[in-house]
Amino acid sequence: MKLPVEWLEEWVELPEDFVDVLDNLGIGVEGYGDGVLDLEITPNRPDLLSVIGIAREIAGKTGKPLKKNIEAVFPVRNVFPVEVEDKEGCPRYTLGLIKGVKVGPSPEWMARRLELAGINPINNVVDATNYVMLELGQPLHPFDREKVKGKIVVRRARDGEKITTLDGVERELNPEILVIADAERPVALAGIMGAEDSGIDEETRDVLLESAYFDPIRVRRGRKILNISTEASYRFERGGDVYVVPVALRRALELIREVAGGEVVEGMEDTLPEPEGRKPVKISVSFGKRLLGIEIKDEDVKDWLEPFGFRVEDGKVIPPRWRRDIHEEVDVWEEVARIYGYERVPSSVRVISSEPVYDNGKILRQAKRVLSGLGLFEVYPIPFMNPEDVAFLPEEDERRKGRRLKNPMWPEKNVMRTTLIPGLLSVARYNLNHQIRDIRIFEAGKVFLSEERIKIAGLFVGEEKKTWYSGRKYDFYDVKGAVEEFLTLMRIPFELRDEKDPLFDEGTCLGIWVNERCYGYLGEIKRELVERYEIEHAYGFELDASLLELREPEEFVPLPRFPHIKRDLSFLVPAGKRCEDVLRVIREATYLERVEVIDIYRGKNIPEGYTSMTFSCVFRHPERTLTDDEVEHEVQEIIRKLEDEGIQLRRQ
Amino acid sequence: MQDKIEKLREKALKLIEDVKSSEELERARVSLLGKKGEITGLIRSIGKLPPEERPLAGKLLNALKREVEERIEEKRKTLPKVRKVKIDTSIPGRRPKTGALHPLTRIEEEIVDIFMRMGFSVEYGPEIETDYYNFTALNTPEHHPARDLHDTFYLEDGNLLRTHTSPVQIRVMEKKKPPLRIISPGRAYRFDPFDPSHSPVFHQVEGLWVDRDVSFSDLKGTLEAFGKELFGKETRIKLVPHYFPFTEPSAEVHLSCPFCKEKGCRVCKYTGWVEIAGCGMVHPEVLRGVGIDPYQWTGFAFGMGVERIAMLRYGIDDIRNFYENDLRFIEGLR
Repeated sequence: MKLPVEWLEEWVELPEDFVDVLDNLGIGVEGYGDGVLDLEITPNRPDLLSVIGIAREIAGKTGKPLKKNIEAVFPVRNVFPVEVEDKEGCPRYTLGLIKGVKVGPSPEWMARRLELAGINPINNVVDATNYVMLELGQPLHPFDREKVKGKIVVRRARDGEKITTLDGVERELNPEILVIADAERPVALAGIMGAEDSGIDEETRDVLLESAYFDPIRVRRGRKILNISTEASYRFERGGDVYVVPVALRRALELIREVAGGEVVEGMEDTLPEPEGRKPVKISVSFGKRLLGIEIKDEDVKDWLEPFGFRVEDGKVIPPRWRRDIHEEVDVWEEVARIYGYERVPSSVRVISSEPVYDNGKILRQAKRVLSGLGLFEVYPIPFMNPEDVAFLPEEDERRKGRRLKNPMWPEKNVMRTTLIPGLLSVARYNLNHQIRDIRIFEAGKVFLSEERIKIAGLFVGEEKKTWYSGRKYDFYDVKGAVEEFLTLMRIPFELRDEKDPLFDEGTCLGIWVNERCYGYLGEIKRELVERYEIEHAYGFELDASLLELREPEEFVPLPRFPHIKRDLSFLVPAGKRCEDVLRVIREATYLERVEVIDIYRGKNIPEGYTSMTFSCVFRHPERTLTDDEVEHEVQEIIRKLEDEGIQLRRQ
Repeated sequence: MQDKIEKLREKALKLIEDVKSSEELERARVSLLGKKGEITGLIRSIGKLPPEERPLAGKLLNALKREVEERIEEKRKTLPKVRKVKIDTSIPGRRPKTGALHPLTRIEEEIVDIFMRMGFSVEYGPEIETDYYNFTALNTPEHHPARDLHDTFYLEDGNLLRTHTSPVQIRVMEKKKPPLRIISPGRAYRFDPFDPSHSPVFHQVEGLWVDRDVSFSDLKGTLEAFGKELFGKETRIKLVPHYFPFTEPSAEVHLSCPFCKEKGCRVCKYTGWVEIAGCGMVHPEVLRGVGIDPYQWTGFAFGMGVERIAMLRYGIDDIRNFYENDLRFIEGLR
């Protein structure tokens, strides 16, 4: 809210440091230039959307009274017929009359203040009502007496009823919307905006002036349906002040007379001449001390609150009539804390917890650290997905049916992601566009299927950075090795099996199995998907983070006490046979401790259609030293078994 | 074969005996035991022998290999030590490949660590929420004007993307009874187009402490301790009155600007202070809603912006950096 300082000074004496005073009271000063304050008013304090509201706060804090006050009202008498059909929507409606005005431009002082406050001057009558709204916080609406037929009725709009509002827009109404009507038609949207054909123009002579209290929810509902927001609706939907309604009416009529001439009819219509007083709130000082952690003496509450318009007596607090936000005890203690000053509240630190501390995120955080240690960069793509990215998946695949956004930020990204892979591909694309070719990335985040699941996914695209010792293109074995190492370091007892998953290329896809359940896949990402990101080859994995819960405890393995014997064996593996066929046989050997694949070779000296694979086999007996004979026997056994399968030892 | 092996043995031992320098010794080793060495050659030829001869030949050759290796080692000790070929130490080293955690993960971990040391446990909640948990249970019923402050993403199925991490407060209090001391890091969404200080996706860390006598003073002390630990001892925290429907009293948490130390700079818009969180005492209406008696138990809650804190920590002036995922950005901050 913009507020000219000179206007405020008319109401209250400003201390030197009034900007800090306002800040500490929670009235955020967002700007202060050219004599205009820009204030942030929180939605619970509609009373502060006015000069008098801000002035009261400063006066309360400095202890100096307001320089002036406006409280006079007209007596109730018949001025013009008023009927309120919806009493819930409009608890109080007042209407006054001024005759013989001369509509024209406002005097310079008034136009200027309105402009400084961000409101365009229109004519003296309308401007006077806006002026009083800024001054007292009560929106008012003037009607041209000639254009209102017979009576004023406050009622719900009828289905299909139409109104052309002051902004020139024709709007269709429904019964959710509260209107002000005359005998024939709606003449205003209650608390929101008036109709063009009942408003003030140069011809207007007599003005009917409305000042009312409308139900905040009703106003909000109406303006949401019609999708408009005005200075009036902004105030009404935050809660008006039922008591100030007639005060603002008289003040505005007198101001109109001052700037537009005419004769005020000394009286008003009022549908709630005696509103109920504010209910007292019971408080207990010991609760206040417990809640705030400050010392409070019984008399302090009175001393602190009364300058702000509260009345405090016998453990009860009666809030001032303009404070719509004080209903229960805690509201009072907030007020006490605010007036006491948050800055004066002492700081207390109590570290020891009586309950054991647990960390539900520990394993996932550890997994992320392991992946980054394996050379992958963690990325945070936006979790919205283009459903076209997964349109190639088979009909029954649940990843095809992402949960749809009603109001997507980007029209094409209108579902919540069901897989992390497209997000990683978009990150790869972004980096390729920026001449980064070495892309090793991962993400641990949620996908949204019928339930939310945490997935961990990674992607290799491009090639290693070129140096004298590196520069390979990434391939299948990079992603396979990363997954193997990751799961090993996380102590997950996994197994990789040939598998099909529609996100991955057939034939280069492995399932990640733990305890006879498949938790995800790795392999080359399907062409249909990578091509959408103009990427040739991408190797990735995606697994369900729930597998991290299957980790095994650390286990101490006693160090071997006897030496091992190592034998390197090369085999010619024909097409149709796989590395695994050899490994399986080697692993059957007695005393075998471990086996590594140490060389894979095709080409010179190797017959067409064969691959040379070299295995380094380590044998060890746990309780004694093995003899060469024993190992030789095992080696010959391996060679024999493999020969039976058509895999020959490679001889030099 | 046996003869052949014996002859080779004599030759080998003589060869080693006559060696005069380390280089010569290495040549001798290669000629005997290298890939194409004589002993290696014989070992390889075992396979060509009639099967009955193989075991003996293998045994003898292995014994020979071991003897020769031992002799070479003995000889090596007697030779004067000569430096090997001088290497070019200026060639760049072989660097292991390393990755990095995203800066938001790292800051989130730091925040979580600090609160865990203060006795807070870590909880998580769903990102797709119901209107009830995101608003109503947090004392923000339908038609509450505070809803205007949250531009919400809605799903076609009637749910929404949580606009803050506060729903976790409700979910935890429904399941567990006080005393409770939890933090909950996580993602939240608001319908704000990207600009230097807004992102439709962002992260918060929610905190909640409910116990017999938790006070506003504890809230202030806890956040102050946090600020000092994350940004340094001289850091100050200021609570400024504010409004949230689900806390009362409510406050904005302002941190003394880590760049200018309160002198005023571009980052803090020349105020000396930057806003990093919202907080307050849990509103009695919220406690009552989850069956906790607000006169028996009191509590505080806070929610802080992870991006905001990361930006202050690293001096980043555009939130979009976190979501572009330029690997140079991530690498540069590790």
